[in-house]
Amino acid sequence: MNIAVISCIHGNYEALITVLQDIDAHQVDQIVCLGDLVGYGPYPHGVVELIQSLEIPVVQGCWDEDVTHGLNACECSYPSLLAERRGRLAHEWTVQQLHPESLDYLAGLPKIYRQKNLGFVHGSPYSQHEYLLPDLDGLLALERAIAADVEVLFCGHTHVPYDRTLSGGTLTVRVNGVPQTIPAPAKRIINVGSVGEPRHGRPHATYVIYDTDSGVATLREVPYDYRRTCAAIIEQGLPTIFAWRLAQGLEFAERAEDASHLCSRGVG
Amino acid sequence: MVPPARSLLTGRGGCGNLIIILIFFCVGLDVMTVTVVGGLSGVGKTHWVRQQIQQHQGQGDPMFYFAPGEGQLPLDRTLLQLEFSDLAGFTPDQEADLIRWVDAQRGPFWGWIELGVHMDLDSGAFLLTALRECADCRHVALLPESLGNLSTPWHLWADEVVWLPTAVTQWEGLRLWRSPLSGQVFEPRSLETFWQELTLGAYGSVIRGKGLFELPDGHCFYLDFCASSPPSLYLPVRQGRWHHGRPQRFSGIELVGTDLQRPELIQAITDCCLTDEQLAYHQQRFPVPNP
Repeated sequence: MNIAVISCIHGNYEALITVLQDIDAHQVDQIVCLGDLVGYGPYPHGVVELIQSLEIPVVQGCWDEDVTHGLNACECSYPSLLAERRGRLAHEWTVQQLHPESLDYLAGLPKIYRQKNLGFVHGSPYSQHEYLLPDLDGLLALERAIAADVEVLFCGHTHVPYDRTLSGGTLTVRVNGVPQTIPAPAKRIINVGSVGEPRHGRPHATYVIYDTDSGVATLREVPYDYRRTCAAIIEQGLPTIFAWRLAQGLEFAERAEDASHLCSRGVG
Repeated sequence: MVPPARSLLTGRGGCGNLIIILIFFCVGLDVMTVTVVGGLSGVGKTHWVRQQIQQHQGQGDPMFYFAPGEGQLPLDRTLLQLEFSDLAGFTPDQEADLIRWVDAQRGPFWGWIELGVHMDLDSGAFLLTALRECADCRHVALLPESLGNLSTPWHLWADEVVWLPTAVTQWEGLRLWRSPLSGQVFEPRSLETFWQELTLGAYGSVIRGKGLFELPDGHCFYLDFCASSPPSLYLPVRQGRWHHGRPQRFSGIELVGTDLQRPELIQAITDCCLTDEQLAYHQQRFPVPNP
């Protein structure tokens, strides 16, 4: 069975349409979406409507939560003042664009979706705002995967895809001074990148096709007409810097880089 | 009165020629020298002046620096005077003071007048006429070697051309944009992001960018970018840390390029700056070191 896992669309309708066409061409049995349907991009409502029409499992992203519950004040969201001010501007614009039914849909999304031994979250099992960066401390990464109670944990949020296997770990604890060693089960974290806001230095959309039989995860990098999205950003009156950054593959605002930073806020 | 010196060297030669010229001036006791420096943006005019000052500072002779095109943004003069505390500096509206300063010298002195790429090469002609009463004045053009076979406005203007191995070649169609930033304090990560965007072309094609930026820990940094020789330089400025409130000293930014998007630049810079409340919070985090 092939599962296409997509994430972080951010109102980029052009990218989403192209990725769905690519999925159609690859014998995919199921699609799972890891959230952040909106934010920064010019077509938040269109993207929500399209995703809704697919009737696929979708988990809530940090932007989906913020536009329905108000801006989150945790530091994970905005690593700089510049990013925060741009983010707030995009937040206010997006909230104005979304129809009430779209807001209801986003507000009702679950934080985690499990399917057999697979888990799907936006950021981490603890928070949609927490970044599981590829160089996160191994023990912490393993703990996140164990917390999700799955063998393979799919996430997005960082916008940089990776496939990380955590194997051969042991945990030593002392109980009344007596050490006990507990073998940690092998876990795997797969970040599927971003459909609508890549940050790998190219404007192409990324997603992952996962073969549940073989365990092979195939990263798909899909070129799309990002210039149309850039033009729409400007037409909609969003800051032109968003268009420039999208064309550079730099994300709209700014990326998180501190792998040691963990969100202090749990999933509500 | 010694007649104005003319360089015997007009061809290529780089540093070797420069040394010969300096020897020529010194041996001839032609040491009351004012050099007017011109050339392309980013070619290294201020850097060349700095090297000249370094060479002469050990002699104890008075020196001055004057940039008639600096407007309200004395970036280069501020940096030079911070590095060379004895260097006299004059603002564009202090030409009369400069003439009086020169007139008051009773021994050898050195002076440099820098013309930005936006300045007419005849700028300061009246000033030079006055200065020639008591000093030798010469025009030195700094040009890239690649322009050696071309005709530029500087070829006819210069008494001496210093050829430099730089890739800078553009001088037509350029626009200058600058803004004082005194009192503004930048959040470091925001500044880093803004500067990255700036140098990658987010706000137009920037061939030259430089600025002094205050940071919340009280330090001031000099950022310098030249499209022909990336990456940018990030240099701490040697002056005291500013611990309380908004810094009451000069800072600012200057850009040269094409299609510069001024509203977007202003917005981005504004978004990088701390509010009073944010600044107070940051300054509490950086304790004042013991004297």
